[in-house]
Amino acid sequence: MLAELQLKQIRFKQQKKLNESNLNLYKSITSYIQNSCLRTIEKEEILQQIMDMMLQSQIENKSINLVVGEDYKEFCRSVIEEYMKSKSKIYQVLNYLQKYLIWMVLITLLMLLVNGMTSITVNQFLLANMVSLISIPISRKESQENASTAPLPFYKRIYFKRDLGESAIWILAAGIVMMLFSYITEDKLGLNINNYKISFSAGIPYLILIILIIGAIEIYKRISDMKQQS
Amino acid sequence: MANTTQMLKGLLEGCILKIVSSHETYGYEICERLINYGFQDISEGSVYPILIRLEKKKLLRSIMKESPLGPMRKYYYLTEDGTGELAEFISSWHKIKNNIENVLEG
Repeated sequence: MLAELQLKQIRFKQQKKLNESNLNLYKSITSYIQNSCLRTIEKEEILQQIMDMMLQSQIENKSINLVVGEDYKEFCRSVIEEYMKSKSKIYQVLNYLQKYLIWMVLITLLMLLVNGMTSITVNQFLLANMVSLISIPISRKESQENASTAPLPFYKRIYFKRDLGESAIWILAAGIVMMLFSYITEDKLGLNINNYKISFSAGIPYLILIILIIGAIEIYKRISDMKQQS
Repeated sequence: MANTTQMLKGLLEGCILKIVSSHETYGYEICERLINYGFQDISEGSVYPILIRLEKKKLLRSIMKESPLGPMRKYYYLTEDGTGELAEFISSWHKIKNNIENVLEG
């Protein structure tokens, strides 16, 4: 964790030295890499090296294409692919599962908070799942594909806010699917389960179970990575 | 020709192993040296992914040190396996080169 934060800090400090076109390219590459499913430390290592190579090419007045090539997306894809080759299918599936569970728990807790910590409805719970399972992974893929090197208007220059607009569309899409689901179950099938409340206290054992699963997957990932390193 | 690109990438791996074998080096310097040797188009965008691959295959190892420019930088070294792989590459290359020259001379 510490190493990752240090690297992030260094990058933030160093990016002020980049000229405008290099800065745009750097931000696009950052966006692409951040939206991939690599581990945080791997992403930080990649971006750190790219920052270093960009600074050097800038100082020597050469084009960064020497390192990145003509198509930066292709470059990012090959880098990501090399990292993914050493991860088994099981690792990738578990990683996806873990990310889904983390988001699901966070969104559910948020909804619980909004409801005054008492209960959430089935509708809300299903929405949380839809968003975590589908909307968020898809919006990440979209952000990668739509990242461009054109200069951004000033309000989008804060780089971590760049992808918020695209994610919002997918969350909205999940909401629409939910409404369809409610419509079908209530009006067509006559079931009234949508407003059935799941109380917080009833949910605690499941919450603990899910947190344990998230932890177990994390341990598996760390062990896999360590085995790979040695 | 997809086959040519694959072949060239394989050859590029061998060249990179040779460059790293001479002294401690890092990504940008390897790119520069390849370009100086004439590898302009082929090496663009390929070097860094190959370095990652070689390290994953344990042919290279790396240390992250602070670079003079500010960010941290990975410096690469050849491992024992890498030395062996380089030797194999050199002998395979000589064999192929001889064979092709034989073909071209009729």
